[in-house]
Amino acid sequence: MKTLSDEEAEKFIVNILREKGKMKTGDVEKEMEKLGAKCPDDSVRFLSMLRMKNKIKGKLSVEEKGWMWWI
Amino acid sequence: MKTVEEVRNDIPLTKKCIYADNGATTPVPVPVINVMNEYFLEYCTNVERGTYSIARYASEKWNEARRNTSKILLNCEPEEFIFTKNLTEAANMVAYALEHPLLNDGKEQKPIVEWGKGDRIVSTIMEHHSNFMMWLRLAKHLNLGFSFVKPTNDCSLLPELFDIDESTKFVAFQHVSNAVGTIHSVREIIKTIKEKNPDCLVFVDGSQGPGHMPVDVKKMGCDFYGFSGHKGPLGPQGTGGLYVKKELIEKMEPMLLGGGIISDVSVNGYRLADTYSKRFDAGTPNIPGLIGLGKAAEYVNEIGLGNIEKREKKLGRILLDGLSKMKDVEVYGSDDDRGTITFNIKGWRSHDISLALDEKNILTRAGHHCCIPLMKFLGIHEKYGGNVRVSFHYYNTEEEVKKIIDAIWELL
Repeated sequence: MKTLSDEEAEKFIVNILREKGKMKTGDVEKEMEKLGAKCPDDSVRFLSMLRMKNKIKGKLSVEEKGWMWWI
Repeated sequence: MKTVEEVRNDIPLTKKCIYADNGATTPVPVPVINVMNEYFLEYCTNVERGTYSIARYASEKWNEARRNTSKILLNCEPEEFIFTKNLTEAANMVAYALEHPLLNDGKEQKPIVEWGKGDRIVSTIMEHHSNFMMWLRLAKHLNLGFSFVKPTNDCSLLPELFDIDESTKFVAFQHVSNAVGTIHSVREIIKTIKEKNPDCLVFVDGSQGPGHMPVDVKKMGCDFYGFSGHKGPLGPQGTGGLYVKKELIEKMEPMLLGGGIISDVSVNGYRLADTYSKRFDAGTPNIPGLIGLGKAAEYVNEIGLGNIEKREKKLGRILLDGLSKMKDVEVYGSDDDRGTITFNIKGWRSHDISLALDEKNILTRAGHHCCIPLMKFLGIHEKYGGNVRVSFHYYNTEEEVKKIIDAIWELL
């Protein structure tokens, strides 16, 4: 599994969320795995960092048992 | 004895959040920060070199730090104690010395271990990668066998699980698991190893031991014991130590060579310092950090290491009891009292839980905790991406634990 650079991962995540809409952490991971790739950091930490930078939005969903991410 | 409130007053971070990631790094108390500030402001010089007064004072404080750290945290002599930057460096120093015989005074000395064909290194699948990768590399370099101990289902390492025979020349394992919190019966395990093969050397990873509980390396019977200063001892990052039994430190080849560790150098060779522990201080060391570590050792000693252990176990028990009432929560490790508890909630990724707790200002750690073999053994690497770790120290409170339990309930 290839670890993407920060820039590659950010681009991939922004694109996939634009294309597919709201996704759970595990679903983002699965999309990356399809490409044989993973985040430079643990996915949630990386997604959380993108959220802090206002690149993506994220919210806890107890019903969905995890965090939801979207653009 | 310092009260919980006194310690919390010395650690401002405890007023801002529920800090429960003590297995990774602990916040540094103000009195420890003050001695490091004092170094920078009053006597910021090198050690063991200058003749002027503040350089002598720096050397005195440096030696005092070595005495305090070795005696208080490990109950060993300063001559048997090497300053390191963390456990990782301590383990790598040992691995280096196991591969390279001591070169001193132009002569290669007898190696610490005379490796032969078919010899083995034994470790466990519970180890942090920092007590695993260097042994694997050593085995590959020297073409040695390498075997693993698997723990019991509740993540305990028992003496009988260690497969030791005459070919086992070295064993490395942990004192306390950073990934499930188990406090192993290290003394009994080492006793059994030595009964089966008295020549087998034992390295103990003490990353989660000193500062959390009293540690006596002599009673434990290990040959090497390494730890990091920025965890239990409440010291700064970039500090740590390594105990090496006296008859071994005399034969141990330093991983780094350079200034400050010699008694003479010529164009043809060098003679290392006669004080063995000082052969491992090549180059200018982390003087402020290690003086801080010495103060941190005094600080945890003022609290009382037994008091810290008792309190961490009490807090852990409250959490364990709380988690046991939750249907969809899996807890890892035994039901023994301990200060580090790990869990998952069915259907959740571990990091999602940790981030959810962060929303409540509860700081925990999630993931594989640098223990991927153990996560795979437990079947939680893929399923949950590891587990969520809540790790306590003396300054955590019962009220905080109750808030953690309430916050987890809200996720169910």
